[in-house]
Amino acid sequence: MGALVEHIFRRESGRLVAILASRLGSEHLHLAEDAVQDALLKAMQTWTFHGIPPNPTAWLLQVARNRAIDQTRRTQAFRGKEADIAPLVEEAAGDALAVAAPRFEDEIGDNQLRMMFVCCHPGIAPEGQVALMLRTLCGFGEREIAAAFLISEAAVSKRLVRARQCLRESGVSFDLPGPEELVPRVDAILQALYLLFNEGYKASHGDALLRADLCEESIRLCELLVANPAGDRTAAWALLALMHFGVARLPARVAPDGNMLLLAEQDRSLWDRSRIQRGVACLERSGRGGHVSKYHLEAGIAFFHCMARDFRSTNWREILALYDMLVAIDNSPVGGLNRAVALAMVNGPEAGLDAIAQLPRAGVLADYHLYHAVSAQLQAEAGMIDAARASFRKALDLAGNEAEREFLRRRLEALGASGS
Amino acid sequence: MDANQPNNTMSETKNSQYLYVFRSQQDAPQPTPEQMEQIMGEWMAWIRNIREQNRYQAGDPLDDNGKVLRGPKGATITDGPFVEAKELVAGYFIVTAPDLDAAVEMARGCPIFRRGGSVEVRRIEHIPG
Repeated sequence: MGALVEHIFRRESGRLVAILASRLGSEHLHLAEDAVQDALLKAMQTWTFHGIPPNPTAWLLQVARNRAIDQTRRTQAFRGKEADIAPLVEEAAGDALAVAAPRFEDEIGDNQLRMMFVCCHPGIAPEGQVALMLRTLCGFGEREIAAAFLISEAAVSKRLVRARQCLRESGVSFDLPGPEELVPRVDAILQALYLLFNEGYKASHGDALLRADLCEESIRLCELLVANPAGDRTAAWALLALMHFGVARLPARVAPDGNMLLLAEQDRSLWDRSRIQRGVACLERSGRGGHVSKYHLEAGIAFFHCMARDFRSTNWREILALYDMLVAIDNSPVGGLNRAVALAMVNGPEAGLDAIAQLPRAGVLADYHLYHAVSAQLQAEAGMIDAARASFRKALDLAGNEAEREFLRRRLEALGASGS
Repeated sequence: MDANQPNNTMSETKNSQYLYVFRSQQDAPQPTPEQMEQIMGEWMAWIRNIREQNRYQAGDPLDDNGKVLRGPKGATITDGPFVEAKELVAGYFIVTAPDLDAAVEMARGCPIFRRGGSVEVRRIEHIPG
């Protein structure tokens, strides 16, 4: 009996749904998902006694095929259409099983890539795209998606229903987009992967393991994308670099007592050097072409952080230059806030505070806890202790999760000791 | 079966066979793939544990689909899955144990209890001869 491969059910779910759905068509996505779920349940019962078969994907595909045909017979929705769908299922599974071993993995990768384009169809809202990718390509259950996004299962369910409905109604094809359509479609995938990654990467909330899984899954999907000529674009390599640089630093973000740590406080020996190397290799690939995307700039910033021996000796000038460019192409208030931090490191806290005061659409930021936290930090450094205290308190009021509140409380306390 | 382990001969003769019948909740929410992996891992670990004690003899899961026959000549036939039943027989084991108490004690380790299922423990009667 073989040892359990980690996440084998999740992985197989993602493979099987892509194989079946890409052949049955997006209007039968739900049928594919249900058949795969049934096959996985059967596997759970049988493999327990007899061990995991040498080719689990083929084993599951056989079972899923039978279940899908059963289901078309049993379900009201398919009544009358059974004669059309059953042969389709038969052919889909037969086709996939006929692919010889060495080509089987390529075939799965190709199916998953097509699935990715389908999930990120422009008719689906961004949060729906991400939920659908997690469900179909990553084998996450609605419960896990809900936990990862801190929303209710009902809300996840609704997003998925809407997304599937859009696919059905628009008859979205599993063919790869043509050359004229390819660039915006790949951009949509990159945006969804960026969203997925940030959801996993952002400040400690919920289940840390689950969030690390989101980061790993977004890397896996991005690697799948760049491995295909359709997705082998410099912006995709830059996003992949950014993800590697981020994941490399994950182990150092939380102290042994569970508290979040500032970049300045992190033990940099915990950073994963081999990950950083992979990030550097991706960043080099992303430079083969003239286009500079926001992913290039963010990856560049992350690169300089990864290269710095400590916080003080970080190349803040380069980082500031990259933030200047980033703000020029994507003038978001949050980007401007990050730029102000870099500016403060180069020209002092007062310069940072001036930059914050001049931020466009500052109204948007008034309810954003990090706006007040950053202001507080710079005010404290500039010796404006009372203002810093007030800003920290505002940030505390607005912070959404306990880890962040605890972090801010510690800052505020430290200020009390040194300020009086 | 353990002829080359003379120390076991005594306990072998004293042991009886017991049947474990596993029933799971029909209306339990469907596990996600990640939960399936966890459930399978728990069952594998439990079976391994029974095997290591040389007490595991056989076991199989049962398909959810089936039929129930009733009435004169079994003429009334119900098709499964049996929606009217709250619990569904999900599988069985045959194990050996010195007595019912020991078989019950061993059944306590079954992962099915974490999801609201049950285990029925019955001694298998062998007709001597």
